[in-house]
Amino acid sequence: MSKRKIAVILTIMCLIIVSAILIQIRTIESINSPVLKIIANDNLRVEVLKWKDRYDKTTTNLEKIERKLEKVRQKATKNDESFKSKEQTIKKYNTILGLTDVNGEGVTINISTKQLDESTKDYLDNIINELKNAGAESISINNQRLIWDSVIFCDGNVIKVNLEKIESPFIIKAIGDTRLLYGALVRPGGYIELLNSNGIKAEVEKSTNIQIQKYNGLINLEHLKSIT
Amino acid sequence: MIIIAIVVGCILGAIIGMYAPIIPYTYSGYLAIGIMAALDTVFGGITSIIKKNFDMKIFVSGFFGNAILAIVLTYLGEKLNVDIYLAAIFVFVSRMFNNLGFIRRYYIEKLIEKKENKKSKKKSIDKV
Repeated sequence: MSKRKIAVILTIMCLIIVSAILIQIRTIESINSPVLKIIANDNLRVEVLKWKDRYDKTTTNLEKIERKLEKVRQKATKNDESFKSKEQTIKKYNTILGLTDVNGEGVTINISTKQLDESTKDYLDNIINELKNAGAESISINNQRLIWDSVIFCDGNVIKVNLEKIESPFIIKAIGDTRLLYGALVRPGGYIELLNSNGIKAEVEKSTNIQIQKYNGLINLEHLKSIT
Repeated sequence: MIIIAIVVGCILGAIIGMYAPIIPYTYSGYLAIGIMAALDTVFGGITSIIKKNFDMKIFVSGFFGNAILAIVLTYLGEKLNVDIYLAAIFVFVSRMFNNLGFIRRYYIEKLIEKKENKKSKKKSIDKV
């Protein structure tokens, strides 16, 4: 075997082994997140990680299938006017339900606190109500889209929205009339002033382009039936 | 040339390893056992170079073959609920220590020989 051939083979082998070692190190480092360190039992930890893997895979699959469905729908409604109008109606209702990503002008509220208890839930509720009163069309807390049946609840020192745990800092995004939303929050005696006076850091930012992700959960209606 | 090839391979590998996407946790165990098998082959290769019975074909086939076999055995072990990977790790690491011991002894002996040669040369020069 010529020396050149040997050199090429050794280069490839070194490349494979070094890159494999680095990928492995990065994978293990990414796993050792502070939350998982708390879980002392190794078996439980492995189980959690496996389920997380499965969840990620299923979510990407779901996204792929949704994209496919969208394409099929577009194809089906290409040449038919009545289908087109139905497709637009579906889109409109999906947007209202919170099943599509949306963007628009609005405000972003940043609240950072160390204390997580019933009072935290109360002021989050109050801010959401204030935003709704001011005509917010879409709201999310830490990327959890609020839909018609979303509730914020406090379980010990854990705050949950759409059954998902959220942590400080709370980033509330709201799409609506920027002037009205901003005014409702920062008015004298408003909630932002109240929070700041209680030592909780809260800021409101205006923005012309706020993006809110769609609701990822399931919508189950057990008792509701439409009258046709 | 061979040393340059090794350095270039390591640098390219480091760059790829830094920017490549990380693998799912489920497969990280397999990759780890594959790395161990490959490292074992590398140390085996160095030992055979010292022993002067190095064969490139055996080295390359061992590098990939051992890694793949170790990964397959680990997978099989997981399916049969036997920790076969422990046996694989035991074999690879003990072989690695053996080979490292051989390499270390060889180079230390070489170093001592060199020193003694120098001393004897000095003595012969002094006598003259």
